[in-house]
Amino acid sequence: MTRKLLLLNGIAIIFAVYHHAIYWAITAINFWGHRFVSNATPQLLSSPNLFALFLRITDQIGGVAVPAFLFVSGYLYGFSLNRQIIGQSYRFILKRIYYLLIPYFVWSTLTVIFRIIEGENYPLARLIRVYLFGEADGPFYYVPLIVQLIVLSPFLFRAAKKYPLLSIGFVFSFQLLSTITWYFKMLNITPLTPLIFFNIFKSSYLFSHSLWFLMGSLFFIYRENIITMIKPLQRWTWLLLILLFISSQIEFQLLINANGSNWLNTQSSILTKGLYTLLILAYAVFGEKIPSYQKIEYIGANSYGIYLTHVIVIEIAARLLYHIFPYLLGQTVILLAVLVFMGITIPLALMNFSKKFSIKPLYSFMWG
Amino acid sequence: METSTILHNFILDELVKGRKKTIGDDDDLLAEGIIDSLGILQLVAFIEEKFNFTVPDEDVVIENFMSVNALSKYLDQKLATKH
Repeated sequence: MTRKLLLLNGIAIIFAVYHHAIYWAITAINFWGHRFVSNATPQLLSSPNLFALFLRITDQIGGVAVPAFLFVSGYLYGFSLNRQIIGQSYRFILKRIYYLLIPYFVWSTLTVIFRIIEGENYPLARLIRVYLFGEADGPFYYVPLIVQLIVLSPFLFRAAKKYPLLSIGFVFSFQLLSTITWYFKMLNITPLTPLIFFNIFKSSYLFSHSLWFLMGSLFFIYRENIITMIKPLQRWTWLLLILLFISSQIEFQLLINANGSNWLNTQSSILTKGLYTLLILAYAVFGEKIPSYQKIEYIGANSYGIYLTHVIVIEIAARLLYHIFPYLLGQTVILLAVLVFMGITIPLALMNFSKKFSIKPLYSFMWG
Repeated sequence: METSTILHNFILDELVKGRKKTIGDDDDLLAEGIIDSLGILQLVAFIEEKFNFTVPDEDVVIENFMSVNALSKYLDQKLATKH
């Protein structure tokens, strides 16, 4: 199991990079068409054509990245906090948060500088949000989220140990309530006055994501019981996965039709969240070694540094391709592969560079 | 090379990442922030590859991974049983 977690972390960071590369594939097809065809017309993503389906399906699967990171973290914090009293736990936690936050501030600042060069404005209120809520760029929200979960982890771990069903029930309810607010938004529904309290769950990553962290801790504590319980249900697990996958795709189309938008963030739907939960559980119980697993483990071990830097790297890569190799912009699959490759290898090369030379003492402040 | 030296070198070269210049064999790896929790996974992977045996899940506990000494003691016991 332990080894599988490193592999899961590696798969998750590849998916995360892919998920963010899709933005540039859509941009290339919709707005940069003139660079590779003379009569370019934007692709309609709201109708289920082959191109849209490919992006939707792969994007949905790629979205399992953050739930998988949280599951691995929950498991590892279970390991680290086991048999420790609260005081000892916080000694370890403070060190951990220190090495999470410093790279986060460094890369948030570099991202802001990059955006200012691109012409964006950062009034003070926006800057505060950048650092407090992880709004330097899309994926940065993960850092404030994981820091909150780490701070809560000694309590979450004890709750998971003492009251497993109750604790999972609680966090699942929070996830459900936060998802309901997402449906309100998608369907342009204003909640009735008695339901106004739902708004406290709105936009809270802590409420919508803590389930997977707790699931990781529960898996650490009750690993054998969970495996014994799920192992005989392999066929049912696959069947349920297929059902959740198909129904979430149908839901995506229905929501797009109702909402009138071209693209939705599928990760927020309750069916997709259920799909992610079951996918992670299926991997933890039935997962086997895959080819090139050592390379993926290596990527997994360096996932935090890749996570913080890949957005800028793939943006620069996409813009360079626009100027020097526009033909690729129209080849979506190849474009995605190139962006993912660069989004992973360039941060890894930078990490190796800083490890080998005299800047090694700064390594943890740059990459965690 | 002794087990503790192999582990010591791996931790210092691959996992400490510039956080410390030296580590003692009894230093608490996690509590002192010498390695992070992902480092535990890397240690397991390294042990499995280097010493060619699978670390059972039930052995991945804080007691065995607390320090270089604790880990080399655990490993020496395991390797002795294996041979």
